[in-house]
Amino acid sequence: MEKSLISSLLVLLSLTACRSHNSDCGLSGGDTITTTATLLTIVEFPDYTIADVANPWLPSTLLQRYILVDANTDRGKLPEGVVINIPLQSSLVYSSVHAGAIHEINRIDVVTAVCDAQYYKIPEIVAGLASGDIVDAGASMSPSIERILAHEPQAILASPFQNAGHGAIEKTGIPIVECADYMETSPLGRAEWIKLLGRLYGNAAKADSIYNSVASSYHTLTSAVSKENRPTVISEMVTNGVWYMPGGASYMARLFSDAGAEYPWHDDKSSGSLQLDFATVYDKAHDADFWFVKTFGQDLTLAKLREAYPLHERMSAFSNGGIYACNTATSSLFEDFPFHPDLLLRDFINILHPGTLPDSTLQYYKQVK
Amino acid sequence: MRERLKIERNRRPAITFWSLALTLAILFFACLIIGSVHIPASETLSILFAGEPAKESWRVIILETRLPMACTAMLTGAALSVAGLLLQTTFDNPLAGPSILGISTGSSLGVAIVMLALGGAIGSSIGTYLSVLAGAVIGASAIMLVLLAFSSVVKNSIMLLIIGIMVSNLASSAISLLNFFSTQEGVHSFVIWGMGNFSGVTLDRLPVFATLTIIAILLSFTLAKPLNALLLGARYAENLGVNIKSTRNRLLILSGSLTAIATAFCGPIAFIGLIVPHIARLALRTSNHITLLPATALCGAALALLCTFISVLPISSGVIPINAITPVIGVPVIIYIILNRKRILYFN
Repeated sequence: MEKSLISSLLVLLSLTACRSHNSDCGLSGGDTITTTATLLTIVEFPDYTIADVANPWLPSTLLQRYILVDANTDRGKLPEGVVINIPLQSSLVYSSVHAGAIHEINRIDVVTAVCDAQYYKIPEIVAGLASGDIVDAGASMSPSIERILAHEPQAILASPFQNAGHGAIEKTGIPIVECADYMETSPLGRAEWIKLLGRLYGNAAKADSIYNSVASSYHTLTSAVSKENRPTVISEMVTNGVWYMPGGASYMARLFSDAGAEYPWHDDKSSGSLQLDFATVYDKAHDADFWFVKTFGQDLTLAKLREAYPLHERMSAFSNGGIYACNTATSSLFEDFPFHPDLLLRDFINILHPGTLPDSTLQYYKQVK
Repeated sequence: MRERLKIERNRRPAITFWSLALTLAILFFACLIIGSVHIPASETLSILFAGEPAKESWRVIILETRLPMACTAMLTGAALSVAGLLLQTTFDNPLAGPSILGISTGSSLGVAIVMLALGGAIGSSIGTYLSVLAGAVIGASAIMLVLLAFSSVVKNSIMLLIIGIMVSNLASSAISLLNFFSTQEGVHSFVIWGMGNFSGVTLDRLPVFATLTIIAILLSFTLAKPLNALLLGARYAENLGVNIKSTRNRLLILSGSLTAIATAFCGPIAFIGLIVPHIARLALRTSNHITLLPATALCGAALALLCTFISVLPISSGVIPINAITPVIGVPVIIYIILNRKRILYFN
């Protein structure tokens, strides 16, 4: 009796541990594909692939485990998880960023439905939406269930949010791939998520080669940067009284550091944005050498920056020509940087350390005059 | 005993005004001395009296951020509170206020059109200052015109209040639709604007804001007598020679202008317009607008300063939105008013 109780407890404990740990359980014996991403672990087995997505808001727990399997594989042998038949033949994609990566691995024809249609610039998607071949599933925050059910995609690629599910979509029974890549804090970690898309859409070799080339380019760029001369940078601007500054552990802070810059908030531990008032930023970083701003819809000028908040002109970079802006409505920054952080890093290095790289043209940012 | 009560009643306004003035002064200096960046009080005083600070950046922080923010908070608080009092008397309803009648929502709709619908053309993330300002004033004026048009047809103030609430709902629905069809950047910008802040009015914009606000507040003081007549009821006021229709229109235009100016510069600030007139009535124990109007203005200025002080308390590295603080103070006051409605109406 006692023995059976102890063994039952051990089984229970092992099951609990299995549920709460993010990657190891049931993954031994496979070939781990991911190296840099902290929220994604892909392990390939002969008959199937396991893709574990860790919960970004609850460390050491799984958000979802996916079992990617060829349609003909015997289902009895599969471990527990959301089973997805690969390669996908149809899919609903919530974000143009993921559609861009799918386009790059030559599987854009498998994107058969999209949300937030107005953001797509990929010609195949634009044409498909115009002809009606691609389903417009409405806004990603409240997609049209009827259109999704009528279309029946094999999988839905969606971004998870903290303490929020996907609403009625979860009841449709269509597998939802939790694309938590935006919560990765390292640029290469986020870029590595292309490997998951490669496996879902049946072009793993191309996806792996894209990531390897990006990682190699990224490392080459960081090694070219001077270790001694590190100019100070700040980011964004005052919007209705609040300066949303990237946190010290954020993606942007990491990019600044890799580009050879000193970021005044590098000691901060948050990965999101800090909500600061002008006084805090001015006190800590008024003499910052460079200032990067992202706008949407119009090209920034010094006059517009002053008009938005007159005290902006008190920052040293305002008078020193150190302000660079990117108009995200006209540039492809948001589409490119998640899976090609090396391109954004190249821009930063060219601005912060002119002459370091042989090609000094800027792709996204322009000097503000 | 009766004599003592009479003396006490006569002294009450003076005591109230002196207490409010003292509170206002303390809060004003607290807002200058304490903020997200630690600056010693002695340095703050030295900067204010043209001394040399230990760090040059402190001068900019005190004179160009904290000083205009404290002045803006005072003026906005006074403007919204006076607007609230005018509306409460006009509609003979203790729960009337700029936000209830849809004037604030009208401003928000104007700004939403600028930031969301025209976002691509004008630039939502920067939201050119003047276009936002124009949007807020035009939006509030449009709602005021609707209310004025209805006021010529609908004689009953309660019915007019209900129409105001309906128009407000209509404007909210239009804002929701604009949000739904807008870009993420536009929505983000609009949401931040909706949180309200007093730091948008910098030193060079302060004179325009101050002039407009002070003129509107002083004009409202000139309406104290007709307001007192309105308290006695429309018929009684008419017997006293008050032109009800013209007075009501003037009150609506003034309260609308006060709200539009405050909202245009600082975003929609919730609760202040609704609760401050009640706090002033409770403090003065009178509804005589000759003393109530200035007391409401002072009280509104003090409350807005208190909210500003809390928003910049150095509890973390961030700033708390004003509209996250005003309900914390406003809701208990509203509940108190509802529970003691009869006693408070006595002052009316």
